[in-house]
This record gives sequence, C-alpha cells and structure tokens, in this order.
Amino acid sequence: MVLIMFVTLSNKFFQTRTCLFFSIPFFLLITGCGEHPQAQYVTSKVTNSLIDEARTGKFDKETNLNGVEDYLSKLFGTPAEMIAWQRLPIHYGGVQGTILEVKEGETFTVQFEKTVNAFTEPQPAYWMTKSENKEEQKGFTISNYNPVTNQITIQGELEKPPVAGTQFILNPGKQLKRGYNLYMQHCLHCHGTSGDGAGPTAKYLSPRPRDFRNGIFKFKSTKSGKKICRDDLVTTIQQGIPGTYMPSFLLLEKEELQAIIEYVRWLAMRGEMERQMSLDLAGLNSKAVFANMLSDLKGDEKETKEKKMLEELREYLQEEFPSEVNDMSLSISKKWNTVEEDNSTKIVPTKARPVYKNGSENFKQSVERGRLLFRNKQKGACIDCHGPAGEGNGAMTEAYQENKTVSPPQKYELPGLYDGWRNPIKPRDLTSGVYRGGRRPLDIYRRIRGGIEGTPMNAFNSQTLSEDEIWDLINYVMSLPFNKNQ
Amino acid sequence: MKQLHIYFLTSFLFAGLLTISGCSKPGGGASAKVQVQPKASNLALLNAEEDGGSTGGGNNDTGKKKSPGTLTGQIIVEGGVKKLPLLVVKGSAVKDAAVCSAGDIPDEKLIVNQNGGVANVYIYLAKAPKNATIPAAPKRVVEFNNVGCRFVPHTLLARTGQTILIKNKDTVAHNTHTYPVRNSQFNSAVSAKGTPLVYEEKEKIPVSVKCDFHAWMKAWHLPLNHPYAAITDKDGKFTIKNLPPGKHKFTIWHETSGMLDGGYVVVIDGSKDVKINFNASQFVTFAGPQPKTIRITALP
Repeated sequence: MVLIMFVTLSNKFFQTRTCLFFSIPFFLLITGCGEHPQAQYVTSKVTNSLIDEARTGKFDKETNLNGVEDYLSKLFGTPAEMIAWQRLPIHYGGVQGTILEVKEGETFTVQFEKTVNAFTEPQPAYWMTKSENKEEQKGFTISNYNPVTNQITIQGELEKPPVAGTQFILNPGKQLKRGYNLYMQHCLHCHGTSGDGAGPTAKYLSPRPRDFRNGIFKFKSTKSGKKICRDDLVTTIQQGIPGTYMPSFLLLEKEELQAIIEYVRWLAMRGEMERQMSLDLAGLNSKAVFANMLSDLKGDEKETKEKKMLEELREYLQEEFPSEVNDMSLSISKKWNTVEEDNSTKIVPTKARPVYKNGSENFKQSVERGRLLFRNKQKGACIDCHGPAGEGNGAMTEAYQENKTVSPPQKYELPGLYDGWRNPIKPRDLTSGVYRGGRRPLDIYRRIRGGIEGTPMNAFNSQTLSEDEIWDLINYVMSLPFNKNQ
Repeated sequence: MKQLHIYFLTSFLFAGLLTISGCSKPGGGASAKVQVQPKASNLALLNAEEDGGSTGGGNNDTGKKKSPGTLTGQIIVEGGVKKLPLLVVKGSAVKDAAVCSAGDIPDEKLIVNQNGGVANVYIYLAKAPKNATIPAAPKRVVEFNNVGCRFVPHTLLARTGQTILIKNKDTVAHNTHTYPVRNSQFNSAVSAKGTPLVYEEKEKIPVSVKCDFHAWMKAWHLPLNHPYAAITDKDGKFTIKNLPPGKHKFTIWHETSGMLDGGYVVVIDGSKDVKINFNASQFVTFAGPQPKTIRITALP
C-alpha cells in the first residue's frame, strides 16, 4: 500500500520537503512495533532493604535455600505463569471433578461438581495426587468430554494413570487469567502490575491510587481490623470513589467484575505474604542492620562477626523460615475467608435511623445534638481533625506526626496527618458533600463505626458513641454542606 | 492536481499509521496469553521439620534428666547514655493542654538506672519450645491505660487470645492505633469503661502503638503464644519462670535500636541467673535520619 502511495505521485513530489515531513512521523510510529516488554512483579521496599542472602537464599555455590523471592515465585509465579495456590481463598475458576472409573488407558468416567457442557476441543486440566504423604499436581489435556456417558478422553499417554477417586480440575485458573487480562487493560496504569499503586499514571494523581499489597482497603462494610469482602470490592469498582481519580466501571459485565476482584484479592494476598516474609527477616537481616552491627569492627573481627550473622541466617532459612511462611499463609487465608463466611463481621446498625419530617423540630434538635457531639472533646473530638466548621482544617493538620509504621519511628518532615501508606492525607472536608465511601447515611455510619482502615480515622464502638448519638452526628454531618454560610 | 495528491498521501499515511501501530506481538498486557499452574494446598516446601531453636523437655546425651528452672537476670548498658529531654513540659501549650501538660511527660524511650540497668527491654523466646506443654493463657485481662496523655504501661506482654482492656482515664478523647505485622491493625477510640483488644496471632517483634490525637504518645505490645517472656523493670532486672529444661534461644529487643540480640543462648538445667551487657552505642536509632526535635507551638 505504501508503494502504491508513492508510485501514484508525480516525480516532483519526491523532491519536496513535504515528503520528508510526512515520512518521519510514519517511521516513528512503527518503531513501537517490536516485542513488548514482559510484565513483571516488583519487589517491595522492605524486600529490597534485605541483604541478598535473605532475598535470594543463595549463600555460596552449594547452599541454595529459599529466600523471600524464591517463595514468591514458587507460591505466586510471574504474570506470564501465575500459580493458583489452592490454599488461598481465591476462586481461581475451573471445575472440579472426580475420576470414577478408568476404562482403557485414555478414557475415564468422571463426575464434575457442576454441569459441564460437552466439548471436543482440548482443554487443560490438572489432577492432585498424594505420593508419600505429599500432594502433587500433574497437568494433562482432555481432548473431549461426553456428558451423556460422563466420559473424558485424555490426549497423549500417561506414565502413571490415576486411580479411581482422584480429584482433578478442568481448566484451572480460568477466572484468574481473565481477571489478569482485564486488570492489565483497566487497572494497571494507575494501580501498577503488582498492585503497588505505582502504575505509569500514578505519579500525576493525588490522592495516590491504592497500594493493595498490605491488604488494607479504606471503604468497606466490615468491622475495623477485618478484611474487605467481595461485595465491597464490586461496589467500589462499580461506583468508583467520588472525589478521587478512581472512576466508576458500571459498564463492566458482572462476570468481568468478579474476575477482576479475584485477581485484586490475589495480588493483595501476594503483597501480604511478601510483607510478612520480608518483615520477619528484616529485624536481623536488613542491609542497615548488617552495616550497623559491623560498623565498629575492623578486619578479622569484622569478618568473623559477619560470618556468624550469615550462618545464623542460613540456619534460620533452613530450619524455621519454612514453617513460619506456612503459618503466615494460613493466617492470611483465614482472615480473607472470615469476611466471606462470617456475617457478624459486617457493620450493621443495631437501631434504625430515626425518620424525621423535613424541617421538623425533632430533626433540628437532632442536628443540634450532633453539632455538640462533633465538638465534644471527650466523645470523639471530631473538630481536632475535621475542624470547627467541618472543613478539614482541624488542629491536627498542623501538628507534626511520627511515622509509626517504621521501627524505630521517625518524625515526618512536614506537619499534618499521614496515612498508612506514608502519604500525606487531609481530613475530609465535610462541607463539600463529597463522600468517598458512599453518600448514604449507612455508608457514613460505617465510616464512623468502623473507622477508615489505614488512616488516622479511628473506629467508634457502641461504648464510645451510642446508636442514638451516631445518628445525630450523621444528621449534623450531612447537613454541613447546606449550612456552609451560616 | 498536486493538492489532490497531497490529500491522498496524507490520508493513506494516516490509515497506514493506524493499522501498523498495533502490529506488535502482545506482551504482558491485556491481550497476553498467560498460563496458570495450580498448586496443592500443602506444599512440601513449607512442611519443613520444625525446630524452634529450643529443644526443651527431653533428656540430653549423658542420660541425666535436666530439670526446668527459672531464668533471672539483668540487662546492663556499658558506657554513658544521654539523658533524653522531656516529651512534654509541664504547662506547655500542647494539644489538650489542660489534661496533657498538667505534669511533665518524660521520654520513656530509654530509661537507665544509676547502675546501668535498662528498663523496658523485651527478652523472649521467638517460638514456643518444642516438646513442652505450654500452659494455657490466663483468663485475666491485661490493663492498658491512657492516663495524663501517656500510655501506661509503656511496654506490655500478652498472650494471643488474651484480652487487653484499653481504658481512657482522661477527660479528652484518645484512640489506640496499633501497627502489627502478623495481626490486623487496630484503630479505635477508647472509652473510660474499656475497649477490648485481642491479638489473634503471635508477633516476632513488639508492635508499635500510638495515639493519633497526641503524637508523642507511644507504647509497645508483644503478643506471644507462650509465657516464656519478660520485660525488664526499672533496674533492668527480669524473671522468666518454669522454663522447660534444655537449650533456649532468646530474642532481646529494645525500642531504640530494635533487635539487640536475635539468638541469646541459655541452657536451662535448674534455675539460672545471667547478666547481659550491651554497649551504649547499641541504644541509639540507626535507621534513617535523626528525628527532628520540634517544639509544639500553641494549638487551638
């Protein structure tokens, strides 16, 4: 087509400057046509602060133990080849089945836990076997499935065919793969490949996009200290977060939303594992600790001390760290599971919001009671952060805070409040009428009762603020945007 | 005619650019074909032989049965330490001055008595000893108070599952915000009657605790799943009772510099008394720049 383009033109055109003018951008644009770089998960700041031996487990040519990065690649994999670890409470997708009978070498009678339609194209599958008390998984390909006879045919030969009763998964990780592709399309540019809130667009945004890697999400319906549940994640993506750059994704299909949130939960769990593993090692094995312990020593003394410290790390990585990682994964899985299974983790008002007539005296009194509560230094001291007029300019915005997420704590350079991700954060300007977590009275109830995780906004349980008091407070807060000039 | 040629050229160029600009192989992005490999829940890689660094409760090689004992000791700093300035001076214009600067608030970060004994040092077993019966957590509640805009006690030990009752004994609002590693964060306003806090998981190092209203308030909590831990008193002395016999590896931690010793080995065969010395240079902060000393000016 390009050739035709030039051939149809007159000779004179070839000699004009216009020709050059048009061809340069043409060449520039096609330079993007090579291989795109592969997506990679980044390591966190704490992981990077560890000594190499703690990160990689490599001490010398012979000793090759599992360090933080090894566990991450063995338990979670890379973006191109993710690992669906069955321990984590993630709906990876795929259908579970059991082998009922082995016919000839390649045909098996099976039973799926869900109805599966007949297929004739090859589909990947994995089965889990137990050998020597250790569970293993083997991949194979199912070439077709007949739901009438309940038989599958396997492609290729199997060196060790499974026995009746073996569990297998058809098309494992289907939802995770879908979630990955959708995430890379819609979420990556702000939230980053690893969910670290440092995508290419992130540096231009304030507030910063969420860093999922500590498993903390701000706007949820679960109690303080509990994880976010799937419903809340769907709501956040559907509604967006008003007042921030998080848009509403109402146009996504339900099935797409489910896939994305599973992938986000998977990224959050991966981040939590990395955080706990590297913090476990950082106490004794960060570069700073090594430098500090060896700073006063010289020569032979220094060498022996360093050798001793590395030997202790080697012993720890070999003997104790694997079971610690095991414990970490069990506790993280439990926390994420609890909010899905246990209804008592949800914040639900125990007393219904009183209904007042518009402009009635009762309503005005409720607002007045709320106004006094807002100012009450003993109850909640809301004005300390939110300011006397609720404009978000309270006294705390001028005090110097300490960064307590590092040990030992360090004072921040600039005054004001900071959130759990060490970004400066302003208390909400309640006069704006923009509520990030939702503008229903129920949503504001949840912000006060449960606090906002990862920020200085603390929870107020029923002992500190009774149900009546909280509804009065909500009436006052919601009246603030309308009383701006009074 | 030439004009027409130029228009043709431009439109062909743009069409060409548009079609060619997408012509690369998909990389790691939205259209990438990725693989997923399932892995069973119980991985061999995580079921390593448990060795808690303490082998308590068994016989040793010579066949002689070792007896449990109490470990007492003192943690001493060698060399002088600087006296820290007060966190809040009496009568100064700090937040909620009527309550918070009613008296001086000392800096409890480093408390050393005249003989060099260091207070508030944690000495504990990072892991419960193997082969030993761990006594159940006591049912009683541990008190953690907000008094005069200070956390009392400054350092606290608790068992996992044991309730820490946080009480607000002041007439101003306080919240307690914890920053644990294994547990979930706790951030709640505290009432006079008491707000309960329970740690579900054990921690490897003490948890930082602060109040968002009053930036100088800090404390430390350490939840463990066994009772073999202690915090040194004002003379730097500690006692750990009923340790199972055998070799134990203790972690010694202090808030100024974190880990003082990650593997202090003690062999228990009956009671033992130790004196642990550290250099004064180990009781300073080393991570990052020195914190600025800010004088809090008048706040409304």
